[in-house]
Amino acid sequence: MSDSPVQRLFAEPGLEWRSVSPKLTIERRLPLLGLLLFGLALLAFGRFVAEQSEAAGADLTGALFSGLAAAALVGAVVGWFFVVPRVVSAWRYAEREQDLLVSRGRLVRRLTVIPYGRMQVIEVSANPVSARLGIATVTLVTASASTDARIPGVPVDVAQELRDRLAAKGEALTAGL
Amino acid sequence: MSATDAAPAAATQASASASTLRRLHPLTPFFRSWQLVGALAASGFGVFRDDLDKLKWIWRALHGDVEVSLLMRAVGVLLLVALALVFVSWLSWRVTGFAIITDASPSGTLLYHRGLIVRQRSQVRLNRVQSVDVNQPFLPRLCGLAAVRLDMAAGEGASVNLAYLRRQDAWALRAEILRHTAVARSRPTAATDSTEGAGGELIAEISTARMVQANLLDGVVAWVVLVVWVVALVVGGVVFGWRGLVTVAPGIVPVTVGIAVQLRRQVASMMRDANFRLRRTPTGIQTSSGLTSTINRTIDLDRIQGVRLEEPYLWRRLGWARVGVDIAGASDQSHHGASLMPVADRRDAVALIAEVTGARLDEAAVVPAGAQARWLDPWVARHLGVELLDRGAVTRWGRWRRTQFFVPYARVQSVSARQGPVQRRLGLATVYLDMPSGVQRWQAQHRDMAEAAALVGELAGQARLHRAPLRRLEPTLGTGDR
Repeated sequence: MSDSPVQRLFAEPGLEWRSVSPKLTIERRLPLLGLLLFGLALLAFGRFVAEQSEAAGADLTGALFSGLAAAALVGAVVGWFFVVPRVVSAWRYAEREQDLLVSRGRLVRRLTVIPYGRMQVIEVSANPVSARLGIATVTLVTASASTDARIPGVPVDVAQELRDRLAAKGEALTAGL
Repeated sequence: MSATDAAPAAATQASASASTLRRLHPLTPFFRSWQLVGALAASGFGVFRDDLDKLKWIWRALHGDVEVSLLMRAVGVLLLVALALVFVSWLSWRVTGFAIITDASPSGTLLYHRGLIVRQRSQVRLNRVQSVDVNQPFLPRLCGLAAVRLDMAAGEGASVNLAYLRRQDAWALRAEILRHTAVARSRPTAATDSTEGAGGELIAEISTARMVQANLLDGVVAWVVLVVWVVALVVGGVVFGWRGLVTVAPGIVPVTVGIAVQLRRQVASMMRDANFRLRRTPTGIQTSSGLTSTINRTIDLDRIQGVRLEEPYLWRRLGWARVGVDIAGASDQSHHGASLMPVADRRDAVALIAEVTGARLDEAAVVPAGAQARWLDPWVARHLGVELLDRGAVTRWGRWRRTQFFVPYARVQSVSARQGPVQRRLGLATVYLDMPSGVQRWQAQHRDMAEAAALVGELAGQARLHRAPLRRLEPTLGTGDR
């Protein structure tokens, strides 16, 4: 797979591709925790309803609730062990002399190439969770709304370095719309 | 607008006393209050509709069954309301004014004051103006009035509409504004640009016959559907009896409405494209069109960020094509692109594109989509293709409405690629060029993987090379705090 066409398009060899921090997995797993709790709550509620009412149709309600709960739990588990780690490990970026490459996605692969001269804003942001984990999201904004260049899960010090480096390169190569 | 604008802005505010402001045409309040009267009438009708008795009352009143004084009073109230409306809009007209001042920046600033209760004072730096259009809606047109519309790069919210002025004044104002914007770009402007009609060199004109033909051919499906529908209704009526039709009316009405909407769109586009004229001006292209209301738009060549050549199926036999342009920050029709040429011979259309953007379509080799693409999109795959020119990239698509879309490398913001799971199976990927807002995203669908990789590299390289800055932006960046 090292020199397959896929490799050449979405992960050009010979470049220094940098992965995002594994800590991003923790941040991305948090919403799944919510899903997990929701599933457990559903399960408990379904059982409670089934126990309370002996009436006809109670079985059906119970089955419905356990079905929903099972779906939520399976979703949470699959997301936890399968989707999140793969998504995080697929998120990579590389700095070239003239442009920045961001590659992401497993099921749907995406690559964005942004010439430094086109960058208008470089944004470093962190929500409370990622701040606690010491990671930040670096977003590059161009004049185009469809440019999708977000790098989440960059360690804070690396993010600051990256921001400064990009800003310097951008300034040197500034261009209009 | 950045912080650097603040200082000169404050200075200009002081220097523009109310006396130097120019007023809009005195008839403006009438046209403005017409809309209010219309709204009032609509709400009045809403009240009466709920209570048909009142309508009956009016009927009787008109026949003199009710005391005359009561009717007089009602009419009096109505008159009073109308007068009050006119008075209020007259007041707001009094505080509305504009002026062009030149002391703040070399290119001039347009002040626009308005608002009776909430006072609004806009300052438009004329070197930021993207286009100046003179429009004539139907009613004001009857009185020889026109509106001047200034579009800014920021889009809808930032544009200024000076309505209404006398037609000559509107054109003179437009010329004045253009002179100021031209100073900013240190480009010569010809005074001829100002005069209406004679302004610029006439490049093309479309005869009404051809325009109607073209529109009919383009929308032939809608007309055929209409004919089939009417025939079906009549046959149904004859066979099952008209009463039968009434019982299935709930099914008939929506379909009819749907067809009517389609046809209305057709007729609207005919009205819009009638009397189409294309002129060349020193800074760009000027189009004027419209049957009932005339729309003049000036397209600065610098603003064009994408051009498309469309050939609907039935036009191809006749060798006709349509040219549309995408403009950054365009407020209206941003999705379909402004029409640069509603219909022309294909050769002329291609020549026009070459003149406007420097892109010579059909000259480079067309690289078709990957062979596997037919599994994904069997109808269109054969018609997909990419053509790389010196100045920009062309993508082609469409089986029925064959379209070529050109974007200049100089405007490309970033290059993207995307591959879905099915595409991966087939070894395909789609390549995108991300353009400034207001411009359709350029996409080359279903490229072979190896070719897509080469394409991304090539396009990114070209986007880097052609980073020629906009001439308009350059001086303002430098002179902001001078």
